[in-house]
Amino acid sequence: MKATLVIYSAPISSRAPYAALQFARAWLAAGNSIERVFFYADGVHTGAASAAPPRDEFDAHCEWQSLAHDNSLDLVICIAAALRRGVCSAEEAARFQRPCHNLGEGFRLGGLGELVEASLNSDRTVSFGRHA
Amino acid sequence: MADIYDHEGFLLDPSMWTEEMARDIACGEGVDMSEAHWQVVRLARQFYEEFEMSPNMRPLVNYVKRHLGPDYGNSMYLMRLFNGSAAKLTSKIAGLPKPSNCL
Amino acid sequence: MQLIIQRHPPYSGQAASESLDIALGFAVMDQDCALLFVDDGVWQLLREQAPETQKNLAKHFAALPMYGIEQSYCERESLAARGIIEDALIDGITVLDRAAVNALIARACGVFAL
Repeated sequence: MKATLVIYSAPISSRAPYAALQFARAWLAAGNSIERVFFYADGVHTGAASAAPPRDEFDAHCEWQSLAHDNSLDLVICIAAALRRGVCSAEEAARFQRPCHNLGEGFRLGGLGELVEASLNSDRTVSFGRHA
Repeated sequence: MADIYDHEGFLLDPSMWTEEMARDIACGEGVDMSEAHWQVVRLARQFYEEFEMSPNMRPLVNYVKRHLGPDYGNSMYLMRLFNGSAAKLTSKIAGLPKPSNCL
Repeated sequence: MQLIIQRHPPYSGQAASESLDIALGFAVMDQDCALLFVDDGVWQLLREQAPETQKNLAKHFAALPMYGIEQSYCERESLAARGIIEDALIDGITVLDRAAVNALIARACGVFAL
């Protein structure tokens, strides 16, 4: 089966990105596929490469990056939610004349239409976390 | 000039809008404003006032249909008027913010 | 039908409008969707809203028919628990009791509850 994952909460204030990661691993291990992982609302913080949690703690950004790399997952950060919260690609930083950017490799910015499209192409859409 | 418009040429403050500005913006986009264009641009401003958002394509079509009827409220007609980019150009010429990024 | 559940109060962060944006996202791609207001989300439906720093949600909801979203529902128990009478709500809202709300959720092919 094909699933789309949606993550609504930030790594720092919830376990949603962790729970979603565990789900994704189990889902893939069972022979299923993932159409897209869409980070929305505070979930967009997962895309920030500038977060540096203590080394012996769970690092949502890096863990998602490596899972995506190993399984060719499409990790999409909602562009409007991200720009509001200071998660920004080099391209958007230039466009809005911001002094820095922090979107990590393996993540890309995209619109809500990408959630809609992925969801319509999937057998299941599974949500993690809730809006703060 | 720089601080009246954003980086994409959208007016920063919709209340600053004048018809002369609209003509200039339209001209820069290769649109020669006729009465047919003005009708749609005025409706877009009315939409913004009524709902506090810039219309995407689907609501723009429906809003024009509600006010002017189905001969005008259809995407073929609007796309032809605004060079295939009806929602974006209508908002731009009407001095409204770009319709939401996400949608 | 995609069901988007509005359960956060208005004007306390982005929750209400980011949830609404999901509904608009489905609507602009011509998908059938509906809004359901429960818990503190029912505060979003009050007729008299005069926010100073955020967009007026009641005005956004008035635009829903333009997006092809014809159905908006609200849970009767959530209104009662907050002492909100139906006359205080904006137009076009169908009030359902909890059993009907459960049936609505069961009928939806997708549910988004931020």
